[in-house]
Amino acid sequence: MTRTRVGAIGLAVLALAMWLLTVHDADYSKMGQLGLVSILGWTYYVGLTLAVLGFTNELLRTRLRSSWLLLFVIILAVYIFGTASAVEPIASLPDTFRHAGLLEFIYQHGYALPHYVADFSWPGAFSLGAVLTSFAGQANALGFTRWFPLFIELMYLAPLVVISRSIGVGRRAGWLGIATFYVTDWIFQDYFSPQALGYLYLLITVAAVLATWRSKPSTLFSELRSTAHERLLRSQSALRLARLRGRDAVKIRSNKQTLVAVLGPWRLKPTPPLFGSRNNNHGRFVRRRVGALFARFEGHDSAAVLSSTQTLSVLGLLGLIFFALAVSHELTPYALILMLAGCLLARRLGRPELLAVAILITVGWLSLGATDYWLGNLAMIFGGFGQVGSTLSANVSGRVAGSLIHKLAVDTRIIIIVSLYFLAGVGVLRRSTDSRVLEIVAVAPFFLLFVSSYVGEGLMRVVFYALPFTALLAASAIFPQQSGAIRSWMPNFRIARYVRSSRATLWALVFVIVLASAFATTVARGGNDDYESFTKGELAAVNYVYDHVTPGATVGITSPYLPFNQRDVGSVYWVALFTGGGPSIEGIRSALINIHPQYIVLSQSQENWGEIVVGYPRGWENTLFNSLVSKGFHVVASWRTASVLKVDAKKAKTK
Amino acid sequence: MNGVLLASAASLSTSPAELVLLIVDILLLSLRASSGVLGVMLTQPVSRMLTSSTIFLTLLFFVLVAVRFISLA
Repeated sequence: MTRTRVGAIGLAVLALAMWLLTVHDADYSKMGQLGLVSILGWTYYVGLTLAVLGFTNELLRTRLRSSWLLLFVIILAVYIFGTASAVEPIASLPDTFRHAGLLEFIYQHGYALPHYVADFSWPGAFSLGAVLTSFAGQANALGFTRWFPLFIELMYLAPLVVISRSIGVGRRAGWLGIATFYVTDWIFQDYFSPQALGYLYLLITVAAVLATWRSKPSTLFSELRSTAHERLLRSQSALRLARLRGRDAVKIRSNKQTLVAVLGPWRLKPTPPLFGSRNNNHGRFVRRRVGALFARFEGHDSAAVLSSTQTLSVLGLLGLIFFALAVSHELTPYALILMLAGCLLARRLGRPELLAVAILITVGWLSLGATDYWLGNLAMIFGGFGQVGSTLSANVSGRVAGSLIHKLAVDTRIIIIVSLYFLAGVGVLRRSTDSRVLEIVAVAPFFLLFVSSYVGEGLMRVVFYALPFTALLAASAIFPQQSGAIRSWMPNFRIARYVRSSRATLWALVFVIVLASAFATTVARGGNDDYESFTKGELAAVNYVYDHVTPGATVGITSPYLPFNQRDVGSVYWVALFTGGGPSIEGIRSALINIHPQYIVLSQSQENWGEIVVGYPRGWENTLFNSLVSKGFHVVASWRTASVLKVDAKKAKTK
Repeated sequence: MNGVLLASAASLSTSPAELVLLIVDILLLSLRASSGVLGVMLTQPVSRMLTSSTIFLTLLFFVLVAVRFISLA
């Protein structure tokens, strides 16, 4: 066994041991306003550093070892996405439980409840979940929810590897891009949800397209590019000293005549027109360009690398995946359509019919299958058309709120994304390539912002869709590809000119970037966990309500941060009073009483939300509790982190 | 299984023309793609007819979608 192999095994084993120690020592009950990071001990940071160390060592080896790189990427994923699952008592985010409830309804009844929620207009993922739950012999999907983020992130790994190998970056840049994706993915869209599954479909589709077709040498812009280049050279010559001295002009009259006619004696030397001879060749040129453009949109600029039978099988499978995606999520299919259009434009999609089928299935499902959703809501879907500025402002400013500590997590998120895009910009300038498909696919999802703000989440979602490609571009800033028909826009920067050991400098650069991103993402990703994660007591309180509530009754909660809606969908109405900024505590009490709830659930997560996001004073829920008791409510069940109150009808009448 | 996959099967039956157009259009596109992939040589009139009918049906489909949006929403 070689020394490097022993070193790699040692780093991997130590990193995993440190993670297990972290999970063992973390005390969830001590979580503070900074979220997950507030309960992680030194072992987490040492272990993460060891994992990054191992990854960087492998990446800078002369001969890359894919299996070891893969191992270290998996360890990084376990740290970033598995720690919360291991430390927190149950799955986090209320939507996780809501989705489990919708799945359970389909599992029990065999159909999606009409006119209930928008999610049921795209029931594909819930139907698949119901089938899998049934296969696993489970009564519901709650058992799958806790570790789902780590599971689905690891599922993304296979298409990510394929994308990195076929999108036109070097192998080192590919692996660094994959690691960068994992250490910058603070966008919590991998919880138990249709969009997490939809994202997997999206990555698989893009990976399959890129692996199936390669670009042919471009003919569309070559002539235009050469004539434009000539024009550029000519315009540069305008500033030459020779022109300023008049040597670029010819005299057409004698000296005597020149003295007489001061104006107009000089003529410029004839210059060739931009598009050839305007009289004879211009029409032919335009026709050729239009023909070439149509040829590109018919896929003639791409060539399949698989056999015809294999290509046909890929097309058939992608058709099935489109259908699964179109019936599973409302936004992801449109991101995929934009990306496929980008692939076609960049000569990486050989069959444009694939794009047409994707559009037809997606629009067809929206029109025919999701009627419940858009009936009366068309303004909400298309209301933000063209209003990119207001969409961006709603997406960013709406999230920079809350206590100072909470703002630290929010600011960290912004810093991660801005830094990533800066590096990606450098990558665009530095890389040479045969096709700009990576840049086009990274930008394509942003066109979604022209249509809708997606209830204030649009920007976050498009950044997430573009993340794998942005990460690969960012990796290209450090390991740019040097070959390709399209030359880099920046001169080749050789680090060896400036430092004694370029290898050590590159090593340090990769290590610092990956480690800093991993630390920052730990802060950013778990920053909301103080109110978005739940205790077993809170789940028990919700289950108590389900066991005792009268069907059709209302249950009151102050905010939607509770593990509720995970069962009996459509028979109990949970009313969360405030999803944004809240009124006074007296106002909350009046509003709670006015909805005439059979039960009220007060819990630790709701209290934390009030303190962190709204700015209520510490212990505000106790004040509310006392106020409700004084108005005739009494506690029917309580746990250390949750209480269930019920109205005493006689007392309430007297009050 | 239909009940599981289709959110509102009833809504499909309210717009049969749209559904039929969608299916026919996808079939034509599949035919075009498979002939392209398998290298089946189509004569120029057949190829043109296939392309133009696909484009026509697609446009008609989008018109029907727009009409449905406007009339129901």
